[in-house]
Amino acid sequence: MRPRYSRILLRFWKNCLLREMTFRGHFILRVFGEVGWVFLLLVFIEVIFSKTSHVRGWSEPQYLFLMGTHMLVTSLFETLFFENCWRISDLVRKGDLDFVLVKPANTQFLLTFERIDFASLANLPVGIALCTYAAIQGGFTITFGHSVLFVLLIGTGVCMLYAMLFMFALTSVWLIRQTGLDALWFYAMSLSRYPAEIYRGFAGGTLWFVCVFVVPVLMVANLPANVMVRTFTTPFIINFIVAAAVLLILSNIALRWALRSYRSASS
Amino acid sequence: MAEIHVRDLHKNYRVHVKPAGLGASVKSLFHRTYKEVQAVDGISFEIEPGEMVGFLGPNGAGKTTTLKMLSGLIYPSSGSVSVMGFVPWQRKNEYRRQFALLMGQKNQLWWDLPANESFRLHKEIYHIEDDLFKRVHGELTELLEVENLLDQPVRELSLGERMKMELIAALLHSPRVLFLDEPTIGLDVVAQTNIRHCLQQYNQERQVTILLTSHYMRDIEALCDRVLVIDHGRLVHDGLLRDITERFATHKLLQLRFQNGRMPERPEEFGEVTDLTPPRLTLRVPREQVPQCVSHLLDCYDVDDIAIEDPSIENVISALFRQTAEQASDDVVVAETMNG
Amino acid sequence: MGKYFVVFRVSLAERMVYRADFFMSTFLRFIPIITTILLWRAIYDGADQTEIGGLHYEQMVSYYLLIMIVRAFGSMPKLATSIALAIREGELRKYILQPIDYLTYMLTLRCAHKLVYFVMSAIPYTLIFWICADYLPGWPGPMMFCLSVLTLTMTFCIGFAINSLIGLLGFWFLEVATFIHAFMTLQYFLSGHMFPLSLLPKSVEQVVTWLPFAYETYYPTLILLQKVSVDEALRIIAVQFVWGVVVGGICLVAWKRGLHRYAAFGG
Repeated sequence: MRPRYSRILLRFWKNCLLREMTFRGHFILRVFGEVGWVFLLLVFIEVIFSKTSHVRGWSEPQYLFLMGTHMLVTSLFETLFFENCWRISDLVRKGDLDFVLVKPANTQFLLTFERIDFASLANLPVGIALCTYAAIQGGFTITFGHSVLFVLLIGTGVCMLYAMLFMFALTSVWLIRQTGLDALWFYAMSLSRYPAEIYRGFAGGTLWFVCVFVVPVLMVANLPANVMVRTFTTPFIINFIVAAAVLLILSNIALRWALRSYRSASS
Repeated sequence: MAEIHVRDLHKNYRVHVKPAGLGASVKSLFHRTYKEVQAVDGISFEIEPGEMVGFLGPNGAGKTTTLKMLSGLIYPSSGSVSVMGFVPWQRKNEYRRQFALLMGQKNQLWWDLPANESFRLHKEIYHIEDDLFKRVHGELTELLEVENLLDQPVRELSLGERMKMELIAALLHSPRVLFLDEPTIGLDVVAQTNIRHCLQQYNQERQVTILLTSHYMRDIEALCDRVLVIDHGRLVHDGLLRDITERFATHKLLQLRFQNGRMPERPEEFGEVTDLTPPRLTLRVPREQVPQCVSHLLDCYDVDDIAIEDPSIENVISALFRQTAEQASDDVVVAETMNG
Repeated sequence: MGKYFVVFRVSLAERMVYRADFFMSTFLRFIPIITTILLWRAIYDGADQTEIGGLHYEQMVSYYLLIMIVRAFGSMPKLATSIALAIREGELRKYILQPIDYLTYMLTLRCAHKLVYFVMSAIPYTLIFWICADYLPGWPGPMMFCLSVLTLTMTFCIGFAINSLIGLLGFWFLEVATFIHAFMTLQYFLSGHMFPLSLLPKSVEQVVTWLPFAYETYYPTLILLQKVSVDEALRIIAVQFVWGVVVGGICLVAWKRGLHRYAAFGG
């Protein structure tokens, strides 16, 4: 008798929605914060392009499109996975992971999907609007095929980010107290927000290498944006998808490994 | 075939020894010292289907660790366990669907939502059919008298009410085996009795196997015939609760009443005086000295009435643990570090 | 004084114990700086002017490096949250009963945290500043050095006052934790952490540079950058002092009123 995962998922989301509705003030403040942050980023872009017309070959509409793409990726990740990854260290510290482990369903599934953060979803329409605006401003020609690839790559990028943060969250099994996940996510985002071309010189080159090949966060927004408004190469896309698949498999192996060391705190 | 089968179970932990003081904690930044602790040190027992067994032991004795290995939460260092024919730490879904774990100190219900929402989630996770869910849900809420609390957010419930909800959550999928870790901790007497009653009835109706740890002797006395006493990771007693006195009571209580008001001038020579209200005297006498002591007293004094009693089980056990705890207060500290 | 010294020592020892996340977070902290600098390299390369917002490229790099130092003095991670939490969870009662002033207690804790942070991060900071020595303005004269120490002290005080005040809002509102998040986003912009405030359009700049946030971070950074004269520096420190007194004063009033309310409602 296999667990009915789609029904569990639906019930998770329903519970999250019920919870969100009991804290409306919290929800509104969150949305305000999320959208406000995006507004400030746009102010920064305006400041940049009031001083220069191009940033390493990216025109303003192209840059705005990258920004929109980045918002789509972060919004999806934060809605679906961030809180779940964040919770893991709490579950470990308080020993509440016990309850997840005794449930007759896949542990990674339960850990990954229990929470959904509806407030972060607010940036999804904003991102779509920004991409649309940028595409019209830049007069980009966008085919149906490109759009499908775009959506696919965004999904791939989100999965990739999930796998990496999930693995990072699992380190709390050994470190017990671990609070760096939000900072790490912030840094990952501050890296991937910019065009990959700005990473030049010794420090930039090193960072580029690390963030493309070791901790592949740099391409999650750059690649889909490039596909839509600039150029791209097929091998790179294939490597990107393969890397995401490998990371997902690794995240499962990491979980099994972490659970072997899990001590289950008592109180 | 036993429902639970444990053979030579061990669990060792490596714990970081936290030094006290500023200088030492600076040093620990660069060099850490570890210590090996045997939380469970070679335990074996069997439990038959439908049995209700109590697990006794002081803090850090290894009760909870054993329970966690039986639930498959942690891996043993060595030894074997079989519960309903499954190896717990393989965490097969078939196994996990058939047992439940209830921990008095933790809660698994969604804090901000009514308990009913958590129950509905359980229904999906355990894949409980609609009819069955309705029936069991109805029975349990009636048994625990919580029908009118189901739609209140869990955070607004009292501790006792919340524990009842936790119990329902643990029983919804009709488990065959139930592990209870301190199910009545922190509850008032009424709620304790309530939960005890529910467990008793549930066990009788369904013949579920229950293994239970508790600080409250009353829980154990009311629910379990058989107890496992564990200390320092070792099983020191496996048998009937009342046999504990036989085995571990080192003293007996001698209650005497003297005639003519003539009493021993120095009663402490006979044993420890626990009560002295002439003409009555109560003495705590080592078991092997009881016959000698009694004959001496009867010879020299006019005794009106005499009664020889065993101390209460609770006293025997707490004395037993106090004695061993003094030997090893060190280990308890380590066990706490491990948990915290 | 003695009891605060004990608090100081205990919290010092506590902070030392958790080494893993400390080292990690100290190094990660520089990642956004590097990416921002790389972005500015790209902007200066694309722009047809050598000065943007009154700063050369070298000064822009220094600005971001030095603002890290100023932020290290002014930022109070988790201060507001812990105050709000203490109010909400009723933990405050413990401190009220003890003969220890809660805000002084928090200030002592914070000094300990800061001291440990400076000691621990001395190595990475020195390393980064040594690598970037060519961009930095060089050692200040004795006068400017004294003024720098003074302005950083004021930064610490303003930072503590602002964050405490937000935490004390917990007496009146439930959602302080969420509010803090939205507030930090805004502060990131208003304090000039995102980019120098001189890049803003003149009208906006005039409003923003009037606020305490600019005096908490932006102006002290300019002093460290030696972009301002001694007279100007003295003016800045004077205004910092005024802001410190004003915000600190509001803080004390909020504390008194809040406590009154707390006692009346029983938490």
